[in-house]
Amino acid sequence: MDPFFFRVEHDLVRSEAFRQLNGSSVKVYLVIGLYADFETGWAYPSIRTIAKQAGLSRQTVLNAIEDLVNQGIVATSKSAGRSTAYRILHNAPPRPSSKSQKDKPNRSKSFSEHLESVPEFLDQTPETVLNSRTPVAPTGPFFSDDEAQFWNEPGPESGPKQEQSNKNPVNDSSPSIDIPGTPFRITLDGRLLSLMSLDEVLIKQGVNEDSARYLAHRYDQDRVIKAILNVMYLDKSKKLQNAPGYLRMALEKGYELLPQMAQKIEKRRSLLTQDIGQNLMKEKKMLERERLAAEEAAINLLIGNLKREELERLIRQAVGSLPEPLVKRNPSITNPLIRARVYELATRITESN
Amino acid sequence: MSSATVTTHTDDWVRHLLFDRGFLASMKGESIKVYLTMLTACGGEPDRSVTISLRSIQDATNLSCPTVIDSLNRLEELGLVVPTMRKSGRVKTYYIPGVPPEN
Repeated sequence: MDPFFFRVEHDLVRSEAFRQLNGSSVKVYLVIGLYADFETGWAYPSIRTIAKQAGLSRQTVLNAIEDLVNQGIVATSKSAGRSTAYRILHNAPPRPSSKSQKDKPNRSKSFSEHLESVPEFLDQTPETVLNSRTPVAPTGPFFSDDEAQFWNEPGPESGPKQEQSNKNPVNDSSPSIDIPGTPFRITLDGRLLSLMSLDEVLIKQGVNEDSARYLAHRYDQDRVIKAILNVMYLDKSKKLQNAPGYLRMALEKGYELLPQMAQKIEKRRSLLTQDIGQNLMKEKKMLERERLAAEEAAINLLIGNLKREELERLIRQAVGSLPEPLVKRNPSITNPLIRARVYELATRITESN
Repeated sequence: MSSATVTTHTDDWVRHLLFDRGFLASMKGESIKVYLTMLTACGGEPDRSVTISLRSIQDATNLSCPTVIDSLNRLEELGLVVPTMRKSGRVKTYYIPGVPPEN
């Protein structure tokens, strides 16, 4: 007796995905359900087994699995040296009535349209690196005038975690850089910021309002941002059809950033590091120039106050104390070495007086 | 149709039918979708009759009318559904046997 099997079947028939799937995909879904572990939900059938049970060819099975994953009703987990694991996602979106289906706009379409307005998602080059450090980055359709918000302060928590209000993002002056085409920013230490409340971003991605609010508050915000970034990347690459389904799974399982996405974000972070390094160098050079200018002004003031005879005496003294090759060509006060030595001698005289 | 209406003894017969007796592998094309729709319509119980229109199956499966008819014919050939009443209209009554006859 296995009540799980039929529950799987009913989950499928109730879902909107059932209408979109072809017969082969449904068969593969059923076989995965048959092999699913009752407790963990993971199934480990080989392609050959699935093909045999479903009466399909291996290629058809592979296509069907891809279809199921794209529909967001099956998750796969591949690891080197081990068979692929499959898991049926029981939160497949329910089938709307035919009437409401006609009334409601197509979610994936609206999301695609939304992304179409960001053609250079993550590939666009910021105008200048320096400008990208400014708190507000007008990139992407999610641009908001809200201040950046930090999520997940690292380190041990000093007290009970307080619920963060998405409506009132926390100000933070730490340097950060925008992630082009998204409402997010990355800080130097790798923290993710959101320029707008996460439930709004989730709603923009097709999650209904109540679920968006629930997900944004239930899960760690860092996890939510990562899931959204993954969805954006997959949707842009046209590898995802059921964004809300993927989002739910990613949040439930705590998916890390996809390697491609992580790489792009890391590039942005290194740009920020580079930018900050350059700024520090500029500041250092500027301070050095200011120091030299101040020194020059002090020398000019001191030398200017010396009497002509005294100045000539000090110049002679300076020329005599310096190696001949250094002063042979220009034994006057315009020689920086002589000038510095005269200043030194004059200072000693002033101090002794 | 909620999963709560399905009792454990009904689960076993579907699994037995589809996997142990190999009917899943025997079903071609979109027949499985039509069969699951029929099962859902009869509450997941074996040896029950269900009256359903082609339009209802089309809506549930997103298949065309000829595909649904073709799938029903295949299911009839396999003995998984048995038409019990034929009318000139589109509504038919099908009997879902718990134990189809051996081919």
